Amino acid sequence: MQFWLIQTLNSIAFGGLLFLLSSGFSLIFGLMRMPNLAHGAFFMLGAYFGATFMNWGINFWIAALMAGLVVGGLGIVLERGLLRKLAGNAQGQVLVTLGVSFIIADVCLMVWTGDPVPVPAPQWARAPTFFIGYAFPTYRLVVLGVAVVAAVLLYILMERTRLGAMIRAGVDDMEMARGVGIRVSLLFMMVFLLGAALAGLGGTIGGPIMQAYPGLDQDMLPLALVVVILGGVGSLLGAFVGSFAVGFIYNFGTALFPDFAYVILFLPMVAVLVLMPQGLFAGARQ
Amino acid sequence: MANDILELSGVHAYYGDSHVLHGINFGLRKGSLLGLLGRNGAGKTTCMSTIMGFLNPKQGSIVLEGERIGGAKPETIARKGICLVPQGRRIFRSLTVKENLQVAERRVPDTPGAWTLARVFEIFPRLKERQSQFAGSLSGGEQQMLAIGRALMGNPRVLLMDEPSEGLAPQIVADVGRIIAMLKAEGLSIILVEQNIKMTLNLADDIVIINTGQVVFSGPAAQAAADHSLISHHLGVF
Ligand SMILES: Nc1ncnc2c1ncn2[C@@H]1O[C@H](COP(=O)(O)OP(=O)(O)OP(=O)(O)O)[C@@H](O)[C@H]1O
Ligand SMILES: [Mg+2]
Repeated sequence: MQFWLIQTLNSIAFGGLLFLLSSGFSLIFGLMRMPNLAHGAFFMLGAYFGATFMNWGINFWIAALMAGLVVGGLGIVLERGLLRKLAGNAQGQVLVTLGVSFIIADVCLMVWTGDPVPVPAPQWARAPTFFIGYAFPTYRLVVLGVAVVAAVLLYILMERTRLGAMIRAGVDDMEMARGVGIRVSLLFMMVFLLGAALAGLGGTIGGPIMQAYPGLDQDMLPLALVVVILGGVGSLLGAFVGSFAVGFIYNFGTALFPDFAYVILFLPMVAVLVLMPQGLFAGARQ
Repeated sequence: MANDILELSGVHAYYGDSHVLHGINFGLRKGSLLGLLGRNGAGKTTCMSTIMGFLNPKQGSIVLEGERIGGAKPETIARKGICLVPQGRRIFRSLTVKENLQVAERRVPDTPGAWTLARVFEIFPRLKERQSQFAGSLSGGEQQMLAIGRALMGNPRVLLMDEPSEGLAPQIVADVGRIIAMLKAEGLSIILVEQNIKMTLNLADDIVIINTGQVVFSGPAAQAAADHSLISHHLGVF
């Protein structure tokens, strides 16, 4: 029983982490019509930066926010400095993001070496929480809380503000959005800032569970891809449900059938791609 | 001409290598309605897309009240007050009706009679009733009203309407016709693209007919209406 409860909590916490990663990935994908293959690298950078900031004696939460800001800034540089110059050339843009992810990975290796860097959880969250006679890892509950707060804020931004409506208009019909006067280049920048910042924040928040290590980027990116394929490109609800679905599949898959974890993960993705290529939530609103 | 609010001169446009507009010339007089006619594939929508900046004119000029706008970005052109009701409506399906109108809002302070959400809801009460519904769930006629309302939210100096009666039931086509007449009476400058020739000849002050990307007629609506051979030759009807 303990096993199932703990694995369930782990799955939910991992799902929350995936939401921080893939909500931004999905928004960028939906608006700019391209997967940002540097998104996993943004997450890894967030983990490394968070660890370094905490090393300097900065509080966990401040460190996480700072990591989000730094990585968000980097997102703007990538968008303004490179992707903007390749507007209309989606293939070129995708390749650039892949190249940038390699560069980030190499720079991380130089700066933080090849050894895993532990990211400490806040002191108070290290002791387990006892509830109905079971011991729960407190920090996983914290991760879940952060993801829920992020989801609520994102929901308000996307569904309850004019800016969010403009972003959704751009996802629906980019050309027509421009034709009613929406400045899409500004939207691109804001969505890149937001998505990269969420990934950076997620990196620090995920740090105590995953550590910062070379290859973290390549471990996370495919998961974000699976989430977006399951949930549909550019859909916040899809990213939310997809994240928790993948969290469960991946977590129980690795716990129960360690040799088949990726098969169990990618099989549903292939099925969705073949049967419902728009994702499970495409058209949910119509 | 001096009193033209919008003027196209020698406009050439391409889709990739395919040359679609071959030197289009016409002017829209301020406060008038210009009917733009032509067969399927003549280049009417391409003309609208080029004015709107979706397509860059390779040659020629597009001038809005003395200001060259040819080749500018669509968002820049829209913000100058050129507002499009596109063919096929192209409403934002996953936005609510109200959001569709709000994202297109262009405020023009201190202008009496400026278009606002309240005024759009006044002429389209159906949209007011359905303001919180997703636009994708509206009927075809309601979507067309929304597309018109969305364009009006941009407080058009020039309103471009691309086949607003396409695919609608006759009753609704009549509604659309009444709305266009009302907008014209308000003094709006309008380019109306239509397959519905009768409606266009009734509403328009001037007519431009294009055929394979070239202007083949340009003159008063009364003259076009009287010339049956012109219409049957270039539009293949009557
Ligand atoms: N996106 C595109 N790419 C390539 N060619 C196009 C494209 N859109 C239109 N065309 C071609 O350009 C020509 C003009 O098309 P356009 O849509 O402007 O015609 P139209 O007069 O609006 O016709 P309709 O009455 O059917 O709307 C046609 O030959 C069409 O096949
Ligand atoms: Mg057309």
